[in-house]
Amino acid sequence: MTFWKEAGLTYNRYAAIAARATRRALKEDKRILAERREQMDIRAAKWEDGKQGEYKDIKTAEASA
Amino acid sequence: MSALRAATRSVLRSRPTAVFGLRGSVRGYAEVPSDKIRLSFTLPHQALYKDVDVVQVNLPATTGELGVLAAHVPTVEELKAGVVDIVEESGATKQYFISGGFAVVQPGSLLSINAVEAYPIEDFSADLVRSQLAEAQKNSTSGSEIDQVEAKIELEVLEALSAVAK
Repeated sequence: MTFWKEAGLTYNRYAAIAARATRRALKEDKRILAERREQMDIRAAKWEDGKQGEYKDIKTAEASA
Repeated sequence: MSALRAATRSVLRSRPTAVFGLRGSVRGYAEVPSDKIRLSFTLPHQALYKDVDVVQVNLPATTGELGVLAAHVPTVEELKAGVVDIVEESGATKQYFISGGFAVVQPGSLLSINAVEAYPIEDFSADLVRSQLAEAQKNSTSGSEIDQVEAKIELEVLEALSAVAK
């Protein structure tokens, strides 16, 4: 068993971390284009009593949940 | 009547003949030539090679370095971070550093490489590799368990990269 599997990481997470490490080692111009692929914007809204709450970005939404 | 026929025939002949585009790769063989492999090397965001006949491909499999030639036994290999060498028909060798992925050899000399990230070695900066390496080494011994594991993964990639980045 690989060390990351034992620690509870999935292959997807492993592949993403390895990809992130290679992107960060690129030269300036290529790196800027590549790092756009990592950006992810997710917004979430909490529902209560059938009513949708305010949209917040995922970090603050999880913190307040 | 025959003049008309001659006229149409000359019109057809004077039409510019189709250029069979020999732009790098020739598609349209039913089977792969017996001394080549048909390579498709793709990333999620880009296809580096799509059904291109090449001579040899060297792969960094987790089980060791693997050289694929024509008529290779079918196999599925997990790839680790490392360099993929492709010897093209023209004799030129292209090298790409991949972050990881899979390679599948199918019967009939068909090779598919799927990687998450792949760049020519010249695109990497040795200085950045060194600084990231120092950072990852520091993180691999301190912090939460998950942070340490993530740093270990980065270390594997960066160590492979430091061996080739100039």
